[in-house]
Amino acid sequence: MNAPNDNELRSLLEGFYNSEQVEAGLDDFENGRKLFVQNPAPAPSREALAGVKADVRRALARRHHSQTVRRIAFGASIAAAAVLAVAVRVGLLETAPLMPPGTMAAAMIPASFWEGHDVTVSDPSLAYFAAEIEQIENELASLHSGGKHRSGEAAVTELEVEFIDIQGDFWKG
Amino acid sequence: MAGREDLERILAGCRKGDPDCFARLVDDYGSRCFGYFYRLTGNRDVSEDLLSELFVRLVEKIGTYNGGSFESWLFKIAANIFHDHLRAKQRRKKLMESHAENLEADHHGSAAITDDRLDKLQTQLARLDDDTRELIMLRFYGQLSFKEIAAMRPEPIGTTLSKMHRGLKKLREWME
Repeated sequence: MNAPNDNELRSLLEGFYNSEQVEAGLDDFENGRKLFVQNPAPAPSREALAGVKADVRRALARRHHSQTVRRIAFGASIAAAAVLAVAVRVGLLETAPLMPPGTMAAAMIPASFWEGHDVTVSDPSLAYFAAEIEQIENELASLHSGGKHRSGEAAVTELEVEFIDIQGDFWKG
Repeated sequence: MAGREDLERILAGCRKGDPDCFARLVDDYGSRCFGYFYRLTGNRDVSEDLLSELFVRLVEKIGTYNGGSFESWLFKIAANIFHDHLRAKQRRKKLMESHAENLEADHHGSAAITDDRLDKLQTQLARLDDDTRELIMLRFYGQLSFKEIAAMRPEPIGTTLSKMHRGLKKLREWME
């Protein structure tokens, strides 16, 4: 074992002790060093050193692998950023209509239909059906109330006569 | 042991990930680092594990070495690994104590002396306190200067010097 730097030790000891103590201190340190020279620690076995070298190789392989993965990930992120930048540059990401140019979009039902409360006003073709429905409603109402009792009976009688006529025609062939 | 220029070349190879250069470092420093760990733990198997851990950590950290004394840098890492080992051992000890009070046989003290064939110096070293023992190991196995050792510790250089001086005197008395 090599002697550590004694000049440093001397100057340090001189900062704390007188010259006699410095010499005694230097002797103590030198004797301590000799103890380690005379009683060396056991050396590691060849197998142990070979094991250390194998561990180092594995660690290097792991480091190489992780560096490769990091490099690929870095390259991929750079490529993605480049693609994004180009897309922004050429306007690919702007909101564009999906229809061919010149095509107009129109709703089948006009917006006023949904906004208004009276559908007959909004759509003239519905006005006819609305009038029909209203007429039937009125007739039903008058039948329920009996206001047209007589004409109701007449209608039934008329239907019965028509039914008898149809039966007669049927048997006659 | 490689000269300064040779060492620079080896370290440059290590930075590039050359396994042969790392193998060269193992050849050059393996024995001293093993001695450092062995004198601190007194256990050959543990020392071999710590030695392996040291060089694996060297693979991870070689990029952070930026000149200066390589030995000082190496033994700082070795000291950190030893402290990590002590902390892990303390945790294990506490865990074992909480489960069974009598399972402590193999885990006494930070300087666990578990090798049956201990030399006399090792036996006497175990009588020193942990702190002094580590200082002496850094000085004689790491061959670090007092300034380098003091820089690793939260205390003035005079305190480091004084502790080591007292420890060496005791050690010499016990060895006589």
